Amino acid sequence: MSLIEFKNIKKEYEIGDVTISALSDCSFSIEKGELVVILGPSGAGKTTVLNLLGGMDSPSSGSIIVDGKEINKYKKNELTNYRRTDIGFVFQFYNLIGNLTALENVELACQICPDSLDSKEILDQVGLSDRKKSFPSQLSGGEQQRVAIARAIAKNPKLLLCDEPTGALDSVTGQRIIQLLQKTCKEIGMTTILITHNSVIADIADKVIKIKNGMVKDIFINKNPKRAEEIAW
Amino acid sequence: MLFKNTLIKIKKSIGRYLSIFFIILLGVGFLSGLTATSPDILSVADKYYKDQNLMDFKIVNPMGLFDRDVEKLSSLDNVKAVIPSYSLDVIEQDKSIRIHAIENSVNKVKLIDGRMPENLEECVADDKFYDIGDHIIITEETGSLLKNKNYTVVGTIESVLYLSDDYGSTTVGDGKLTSFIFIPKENFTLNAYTEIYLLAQGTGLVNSQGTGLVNSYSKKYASAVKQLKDDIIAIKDDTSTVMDRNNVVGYSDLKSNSDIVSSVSFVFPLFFILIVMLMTSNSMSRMIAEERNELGALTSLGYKDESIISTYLFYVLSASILGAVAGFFIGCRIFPPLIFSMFKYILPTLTYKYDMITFIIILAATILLMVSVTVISCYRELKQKPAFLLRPAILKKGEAILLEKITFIWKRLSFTWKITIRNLFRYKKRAFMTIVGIAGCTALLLAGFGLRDSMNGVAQKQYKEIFKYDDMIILRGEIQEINDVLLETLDKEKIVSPLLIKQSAVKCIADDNYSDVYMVVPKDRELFDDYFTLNNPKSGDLLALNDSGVIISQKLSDNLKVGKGDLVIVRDSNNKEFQFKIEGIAENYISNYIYISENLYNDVIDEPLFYNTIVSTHNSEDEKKSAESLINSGYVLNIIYTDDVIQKALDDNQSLNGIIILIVVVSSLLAFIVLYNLTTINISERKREIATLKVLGFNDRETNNYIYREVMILTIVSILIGLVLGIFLHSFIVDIVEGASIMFFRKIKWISFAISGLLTLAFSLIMQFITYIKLQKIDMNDALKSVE
Repeated sequence: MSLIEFKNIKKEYEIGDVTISALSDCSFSIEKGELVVILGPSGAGKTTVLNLLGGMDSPSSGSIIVDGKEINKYKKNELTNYRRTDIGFVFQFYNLIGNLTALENVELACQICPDSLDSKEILDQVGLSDRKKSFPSQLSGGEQQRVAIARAIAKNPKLLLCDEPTGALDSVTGQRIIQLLQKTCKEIGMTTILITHNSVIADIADKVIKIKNGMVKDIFINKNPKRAEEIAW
Repeated sequence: MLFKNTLIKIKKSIGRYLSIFFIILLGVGFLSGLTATSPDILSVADKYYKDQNLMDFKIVNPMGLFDRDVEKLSSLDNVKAVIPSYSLDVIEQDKSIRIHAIENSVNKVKLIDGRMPENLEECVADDKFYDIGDHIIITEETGSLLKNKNYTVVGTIESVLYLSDDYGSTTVGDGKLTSFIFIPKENFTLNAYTEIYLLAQGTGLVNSQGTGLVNSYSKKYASAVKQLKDDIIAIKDDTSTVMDRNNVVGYSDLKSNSDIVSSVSFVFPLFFILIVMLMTSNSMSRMIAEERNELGALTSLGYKDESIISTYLFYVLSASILGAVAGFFIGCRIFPPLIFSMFKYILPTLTYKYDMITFIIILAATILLMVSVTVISCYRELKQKPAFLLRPAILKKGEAILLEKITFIWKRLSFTWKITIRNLFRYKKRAFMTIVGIAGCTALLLAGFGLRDSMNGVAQKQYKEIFKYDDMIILRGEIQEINDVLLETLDKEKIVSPLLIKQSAVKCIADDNYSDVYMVVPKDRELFDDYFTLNNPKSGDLLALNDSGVIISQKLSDNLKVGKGDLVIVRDSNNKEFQFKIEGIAENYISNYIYISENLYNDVIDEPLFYNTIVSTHNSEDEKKSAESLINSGYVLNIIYTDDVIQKALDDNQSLNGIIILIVVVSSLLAFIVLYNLTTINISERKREIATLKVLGFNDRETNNYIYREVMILTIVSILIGLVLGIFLHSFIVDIVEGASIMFFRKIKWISFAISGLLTLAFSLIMQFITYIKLQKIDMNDALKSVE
């Protein structure tokens, strides 16, 4: 069985009197250790998918099975625990805590996870050995995103979710971040889902899920995913 | 458009808007209320003096004054009127009262009820003691001094000569003047005037109210009468004494008390100005930060900084001006009467005055302050380029704090504690504001509750623990021994162990300081020790009255600034002065006392010692009946039961409750406003941070801990600071309230510390609960996606 089964998911938001359909019948599956890119233009529903996978929101109908558990039935507390132990997030705007050093930002996540990895080692791995004591404001955008990735990985989650991780970065820095994500996925074997509107990035994925207008338009598997160094935009 | 935008802004952030409104209301209310108090009281007094034609000078002479004196005085420059008159101190049934002649052009009485006398058998009497229809029976021989000894009260009055309820001293009875009446002048059959009243030009004359009059307490008045006083002194007889208005009971007290209020009124506003500035500046920075995008859009559309700032100015100023207006009128309405009622002066009702000049000054100051705070906060944000504003805000710079350098402590701290401590130092302005606001709240509460501690039980302490007699019997005549008949009478009423004392009202003087004091000379030292427990206030050791010096009460020693071993002068009611050495200072709370041993009295004072009072233990069950038969015996003028005195003191303390309620209300408002403002800003600013924590899988409890640990630490630190400040504030207020003849307990009970601290903590917890609900509502997705 796949690590993730996303079955017939519908998601509707009610804003005032208007009901907006963000996802209408969305299904896909993801295997353990896969690097998946969810591709689509803005407003397609990518972020909704990520929110549902990340336990930040629940679907209107359909089921989401992660590692054999039906998380769409989770209550608030269970969702919190799910985010805590199973999910690592990386965001477009890094969302680091400004008053904590790089190391402390990682430790912040680790302290609430039972199987967390060593914060310092992880920072070494993402190439920030000598920036551990720096505060976010003293780091470049790329460095900040590395800290965010370290923070997500250090929790030792089942799933790493990245929402436009290169969106706020220039292309060279962005490429390095992709490289880092690809490397951790392959080396640690961590299932990684990367959301982007940038089709160039899709070339590095094991599997690409294209989303448009709240529906899965296409799913295909890259037989020979490119290495991150080979792409450019 | 911008204006409409602002109105929407107000609606959206109504809590923050109201917090600015209320803090200004509170601050301006305090300031204007307290500053209005002194002028309000002085102006009602001044009007009263003018309406009643309060004299400027009174000339007295124990040898009598005659028409030639009147003529001499009339010839002086700047004299408007010279009015010879009479007064007489007599014993009326069981108390000493003063009889004045009714005058129409000076010291006019103010009729409260009834009418003025129409014949020689009628009188008008002190409203505080008498009712219409009461019979005044003068129970001593007045010989050729008065036509009548019996009067019917046909009207009750207040007199401008008696402004406070302590009427001063007299040479008759127990030496304490209890009340007064006014009778037609024709009743007096003395062959000389007892006093001459003198009105100076332009100070408060008949039919000349309004323009041209000098205010009673002004410098102008002082200088106007100074010259006249010198002139009078130059022509007067040696035996005459010239007295100015300061001799009027309560006249100078009123001025000094209202001066104290004025000085207090400058302390509080400073505190509020600090809070208001911090709060507004915080709110503005926050609003601008929240609206970065909008500001960016506006600036890129080509709006000038000025017009953008003007929307914030409108926001702040509308709240401030509304707050200032409401605060001014509420403050002027609440504070003066409340403080006036604490003073207990006998004056007409206070009229509320809204001094527009003060109002304009306060309003202008408020506007100036708020405009500068707003403009400075706005410019700091707006100096950035529009494009920059459209991008997300750069994270506030995190920095290592000093404590991190002390590695052996830092290393031991748990991770969450490190964060908390660093956060505390990160938001310095906010931490400071919390401390000022919360500490202020705690200090106010402690001062309020402490004031209650200080006043409660003072009467019991004085009349149960210091004075241990059950009753005080004022004798009709002065005696040297208790004769057998009197002893038998006392026995019959179950009055045991009577101690004869001489008690009289005197003035004590040391250097330039003087104070009204009761002089007490006991006949029997052993019984004296039983009835008067004189303790050293510091050590608690018993003091024994001996023949080498006097024992004076604590407050007297404070008033005169004298201590053990110093000399003190006693001036009796005949203006004779005697000097004593101080042997001890005794714990004492109500009134001032000077205790002199029989032998010492006889050594220093060359007049024979007569006693006028008995204090004793009382075993009778029917106090009223017992008092009646004592008075009927002919020996006794009056009997005062200690229990009644305590009860009266307890009743008097009621007015205190109003003040305490006011303090609690003001301080809780203060705490709520400050905390609300802080926590909403705190949460708004850290929305992203909180959302991040939620996404990371922090559960609600952990998220709250992360935010609230800081708030709790700040609150607790502030409470501790507030408790310390409260001790000072309390002693400051007690000093003011005490006056010259009362001393309160200086100690604040532990329970008051506890209540003040816990109440503040409770305010803080309630506020946290409100914000907790807000915290729950933070949507992870929104916060993470938004560019902030």
